[in-house]
Amino acid sequence: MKSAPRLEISREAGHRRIRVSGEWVLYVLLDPQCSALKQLQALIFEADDVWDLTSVERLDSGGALILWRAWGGKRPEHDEGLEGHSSWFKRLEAIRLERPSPPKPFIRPGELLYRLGTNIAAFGRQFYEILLAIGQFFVDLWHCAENPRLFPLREFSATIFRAGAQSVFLLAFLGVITGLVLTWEIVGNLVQFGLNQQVINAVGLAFTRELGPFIAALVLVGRIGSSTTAGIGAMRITEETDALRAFGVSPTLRVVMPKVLGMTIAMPLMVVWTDFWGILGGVYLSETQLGVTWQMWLKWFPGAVPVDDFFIGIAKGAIFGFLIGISSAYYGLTAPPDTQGLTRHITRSVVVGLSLILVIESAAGFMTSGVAL
Amino acid sequence: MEVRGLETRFGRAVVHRDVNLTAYRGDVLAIIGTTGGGKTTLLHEITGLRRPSAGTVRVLGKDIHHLHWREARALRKRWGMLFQQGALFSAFTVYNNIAFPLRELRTLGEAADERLIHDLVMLKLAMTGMQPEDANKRPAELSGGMIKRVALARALAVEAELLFLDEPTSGLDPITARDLDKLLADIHGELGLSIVMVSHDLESVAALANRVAVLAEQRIIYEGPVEGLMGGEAVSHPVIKRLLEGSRGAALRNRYPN
Repeated sequence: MKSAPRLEISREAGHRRIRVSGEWVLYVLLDPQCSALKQLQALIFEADDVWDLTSVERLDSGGALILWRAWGGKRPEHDEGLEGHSSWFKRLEAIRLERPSPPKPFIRPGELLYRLGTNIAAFGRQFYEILLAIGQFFVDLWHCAENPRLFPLREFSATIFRAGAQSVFLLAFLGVITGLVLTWEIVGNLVQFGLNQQVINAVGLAFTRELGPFIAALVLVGRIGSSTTAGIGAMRITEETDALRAFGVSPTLRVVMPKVLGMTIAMPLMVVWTDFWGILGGVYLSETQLGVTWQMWLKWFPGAVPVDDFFIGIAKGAIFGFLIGISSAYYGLTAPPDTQGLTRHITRSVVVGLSLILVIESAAGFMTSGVAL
Repeated sequence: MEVRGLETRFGRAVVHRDVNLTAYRGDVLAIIGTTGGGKTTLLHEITGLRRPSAGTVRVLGKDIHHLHWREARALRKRWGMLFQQGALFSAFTVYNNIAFPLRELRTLGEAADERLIHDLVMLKLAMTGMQPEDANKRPAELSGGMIKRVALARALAVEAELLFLDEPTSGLDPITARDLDKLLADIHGELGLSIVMVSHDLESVAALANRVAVLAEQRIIYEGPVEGLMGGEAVSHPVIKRLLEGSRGAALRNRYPN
């Protein structure tokens, strides 16, 4: 049967005897029903107090700590039975309980500028290292062209399967939804000016040049880019990339190159697939709202959307695939081997991937403004 | 702690078949066995981290797989666990890792001020041989041995009645491993808490355990006092023979020469 911690005070031979008894364990002492702690806190100490610990049945480190704090961080002058529990008090005597203050996030004058500078330098270094990663990809590709036996076919085909085949329903869904919304938005204006059949130009061009590659790239960043960074980063945590190096196998050749190549090849296919479903959404709505039938679409589409536009979209898709592949693999390979670092790098990979899409979309828009249309 | 008729299956693969195990208050029970024998899985089932395919596990008098979550939470306050890889929270400093169970489980109630938590954390840190300066470090800055020590400090933080240790000395150098054994023996002696440990390190088993269970061939082939392992019928079992032969079993043979 457990007995509650108790503190009994008596006077004998001119000094006070404080008898500590029962189970002095932390959770019992801190229980609101337990009065021993309150009694201890209310006690005003006298130099000739005798602390009697002979009746303590059990003392854990928390109980010892509470007594130690009450004694002012040192053994009492007079005690009985302390030796029976000396290991805790010896430990408490020997150790320093003060925690050194953690470094404060104080920003000195000029430090802000310094931080800005280091951040810009870090950004520049990342840009430089991504360029190196692009170079490494072509070196690895050349190496595989010379030694086809080294080409990691399984990893390459798995990437195409994951990026392409496993994304078909999502891409079709997003394509149809976007096609329907886009057509719905322009229906009103076209009817007002009697330009119903212009829907073919608008929807066709929008999808083949811009929306198809854009939607496919968004899906690639979200589904494959982030998982590539997470996968390669996890390989860093489990030292798999080090194991590859130890066996004389280049991680960039074995892991990065097939993923990047797979994404570069899968993306144009994803773009064509998204174009098809997006335009199908447009066909459906224009037939029901504008009276432009699917036969009219078939007849006028080749004239309205030159084949160059179609290829611009496909080329953009391949560039997106390549750059998303490179950046996601780069952030995976450079992720610190801990969960915090990996989480940070996955976020960076997605942010950089999305930024790349927008930058390339804008740049390509300017560069190809005179082509086809 | 009592395990009765425990079975574990991963698909068609059977890991445990009719496992029975008992640890009494104050015991240090070591579960030893061959690699891949399911020792860690068994420990996870005992601590409720994994549900067994069949059988019952009673810890501190409660069937842990049939408890309301509130009861399970209350029960978990009464034990600490040291994971094989430490399992420290990488987002937290060492200090906050050790303070985590004290704050999160609210085991200390309102009376526990931050100062008491601070002193408890620093005490546990010192008990496991760490320096006060280490309190501000993050797990990524620690070596494997230091991670183990901090994880032990965190397991001890809740002043547990029962301690579960999954390979406590793995990844530690022999000196640190023996220091850890001594520390665990001290804690066990001082508090009389019970320890259930899974270990490969027979030197650690010899130093700490009073009872041992050998898990092999999907079941417990021996359960009883450590000295019983060194003689009688048990020693004739080929798995036990292999475990104890050569330098592996030297520590046990030295401790129980007869």
